[in-house]
Amino acid sequence: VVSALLLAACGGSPTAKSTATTTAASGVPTSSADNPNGVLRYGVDMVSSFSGTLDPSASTSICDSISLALIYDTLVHVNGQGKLVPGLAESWSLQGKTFILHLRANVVFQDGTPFNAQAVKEGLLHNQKGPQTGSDLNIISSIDVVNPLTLRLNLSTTAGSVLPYDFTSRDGMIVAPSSLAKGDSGTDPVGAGPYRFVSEIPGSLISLRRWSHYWDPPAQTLGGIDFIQASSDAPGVSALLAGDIDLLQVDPEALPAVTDNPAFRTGSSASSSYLQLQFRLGRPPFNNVKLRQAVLYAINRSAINRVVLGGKGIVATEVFPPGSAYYVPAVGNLYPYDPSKARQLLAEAGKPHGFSFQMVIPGGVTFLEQQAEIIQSELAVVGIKAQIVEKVSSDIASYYYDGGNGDAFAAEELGGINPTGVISGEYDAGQYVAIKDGGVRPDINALMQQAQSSANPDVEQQDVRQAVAIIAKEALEGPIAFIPVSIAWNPAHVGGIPVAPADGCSTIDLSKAYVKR
Amino acid sequence: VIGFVVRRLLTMIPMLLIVSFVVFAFTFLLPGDPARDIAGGLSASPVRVAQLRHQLGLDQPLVTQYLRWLGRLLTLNLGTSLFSGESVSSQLAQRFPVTLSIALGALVVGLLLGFPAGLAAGGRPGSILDRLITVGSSVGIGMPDFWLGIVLIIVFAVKIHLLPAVGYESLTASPLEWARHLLMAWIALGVAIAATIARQLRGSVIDELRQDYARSARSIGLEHRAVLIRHVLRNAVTPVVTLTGLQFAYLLGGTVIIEQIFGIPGLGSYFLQAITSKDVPVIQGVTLVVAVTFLVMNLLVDIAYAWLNPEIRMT
Repeated sequence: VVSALLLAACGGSPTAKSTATTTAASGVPTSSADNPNGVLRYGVDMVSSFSGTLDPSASTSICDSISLALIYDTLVHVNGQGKLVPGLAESWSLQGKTFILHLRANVVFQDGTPFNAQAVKEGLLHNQKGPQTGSDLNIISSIDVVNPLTLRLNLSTTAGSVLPYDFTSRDGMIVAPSSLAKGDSGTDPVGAGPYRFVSEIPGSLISLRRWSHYWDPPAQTLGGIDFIQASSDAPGVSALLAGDIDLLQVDPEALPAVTDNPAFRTGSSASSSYLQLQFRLGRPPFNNVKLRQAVLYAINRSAINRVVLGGKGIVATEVFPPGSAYYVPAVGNLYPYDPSKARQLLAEAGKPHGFSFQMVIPGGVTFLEQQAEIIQSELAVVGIKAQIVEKVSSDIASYYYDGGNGDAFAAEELGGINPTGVISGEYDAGQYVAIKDGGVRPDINALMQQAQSSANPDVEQQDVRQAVAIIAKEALEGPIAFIPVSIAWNPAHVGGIPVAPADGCSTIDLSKAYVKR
Repeated sequence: VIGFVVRRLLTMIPMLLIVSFVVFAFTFLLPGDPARDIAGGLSASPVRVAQLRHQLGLDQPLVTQYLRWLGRLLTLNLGTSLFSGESVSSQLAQRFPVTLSIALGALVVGLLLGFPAGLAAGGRPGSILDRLITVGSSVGIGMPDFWLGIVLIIVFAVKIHLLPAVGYESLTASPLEWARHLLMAWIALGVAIAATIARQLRGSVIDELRQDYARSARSIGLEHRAVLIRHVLRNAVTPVVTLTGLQFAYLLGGTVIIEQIFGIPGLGSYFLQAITSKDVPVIQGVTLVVAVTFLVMNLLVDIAYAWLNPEIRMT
């Protein structure tokens, strides 16, 4: 009803689409239109996505990074191609259990104090205490300040190659020592990022303004950013249409309300997160590889991408998308849509008339419900009966994983830039999902440990690709489609082209956007 | 009067204890594990989750956890949010005035619209105006507040850009902007209240007009309007006062959806977030504030009731 009302209110011709994709030409600010002191009103669903603290260590939501990355910056950055590049750290190296971090010179915190090795040591020790950041950083057993710009991190394991990936996130956000001393980093944060914190109305507004001594001035195209509470569905879109916000990440269901309005622009990028059918590998029916393969042959991924994601996703045949360094072309099309092949495999597995299984999905999420219904109808064609069971998100762990109910879980699998992390989550002996799902795989585990211990990116790439091939050949999971992240903005206020982030919990790339005069 | 108020305040203590324990116990029935969510959800290692559960005291029996919360409350400490680590008291101090602003504003809208409508309809029962108001109040009661809120946004924010669709400005920062940001929320919630008040007042006025004193007043030549205002209204308004108190209490707990739609940072959105994440200290803190406000409102209603009708003894 809400969507229909919005569509009715938007008006405009459906044919008059004005979608600017993120691959469009650069939108570098022009001097005539750019307002260097302009403040961007960035709509974000703080209520649902933010944990309510501005301290990266205390943060319990990965989406906090949307605002925190601008306040604190990170030790390591990720470029548009998903590669690690220097951030507040200029370089790093790994030798066995020793990780050396070289910091950028002449960086200062937003209170004027120096950003140096001692400050980073204090910041990392602070992050080690965090409920989530601490999980990643607990491989650091001690930190030595070698000189004002160099730290030596002494590790408890050889898996140090994951640290640069961790340092692109909240783990690599350094709170100023002065702020730590005052103990108010959750409400009055001081970092070394491009925008300094000014004020906050919890759950409503976070105001940031340009930090004039940031180390990379060209990255600061805005005078400031006001994060304003706006959900990514219909109410948030109405705020965009009303002119209360300039920019918003938009759910697929709410996107037509913007794309049908010629006064607004949209963009999207395929994220590393993907729709997935996760099998319970530890017991029948899905401990049988032929039955898993039969299911994968019976699912038409293109249809799901078209219906559920509006065709904006990328069909997934592996756990990394085509174009990724970890994509393996040789296994890229192992299971094309082929119902007859599915029937053949069912017969080979001794189930010529199919079988039944329970498919658990998170309840109340429209696009996941749509996905489940399509999978159910496609499997029915070959005689496989999927019973859909919806559970609220907070009940998934107790019902599916701890309770051992259900045979498969169809949901969104969160991706990430750390390839070993993506794979280990489902196959590592220390991981909850792997343990409960019966998915622990010593062969994949060994490859991931080898990759994490290597300082050589080529070795890491080779190990990860081997793991990807195993997962695909044995049909250990069913990737369906990489989910797009869509954004919309008001070109009357925003110039250039904001670029949709690689995942829904990262900041929209504003380096090619500016606020108009 | 003072004795009555003191007695009523003292009876609130056991009531608040019961409410807080019941809510605490029911929270445990909600699905989910805050320790797992805090540790990072499904990607968190079982060891880390167990550590956090112990650290937060979530592995203790329900009664132990409740008594620990109660012990902190005795020192006026509502604890910290499990998820943000921020003080619940400071969040409540920021958010309660916002929800109060919505509730009071909606009540004012309800009274401004409902009172004259009820009086007009009850004063001329069976007239065209009465029928229009009766139909209008039925529509008002049946209209969901969230639907009306969305319609208002589309009309006043998206179409004619008169009012902001989302956000909040504090009263102290700018009274005008404060009102602009809340006006649609007031109307969305206030319409149903107006309709309820109009219906209640209409019925009361009709009843009172049939009483002997009203007939006597008319028989000595007083005008209908004078009878209505000077004699009938004082008696007819008594049940409306009770109703208004109840409506206000409903509003305090009923702003959740409206706060979501208008992006207003009040208790509702805070509570909703806490419920979905099973953030017990926040749930308890909000419950306590709402329960205290509810009980105080009831007390004020009783006092007003007695003031309007001296025959009612405060017992």
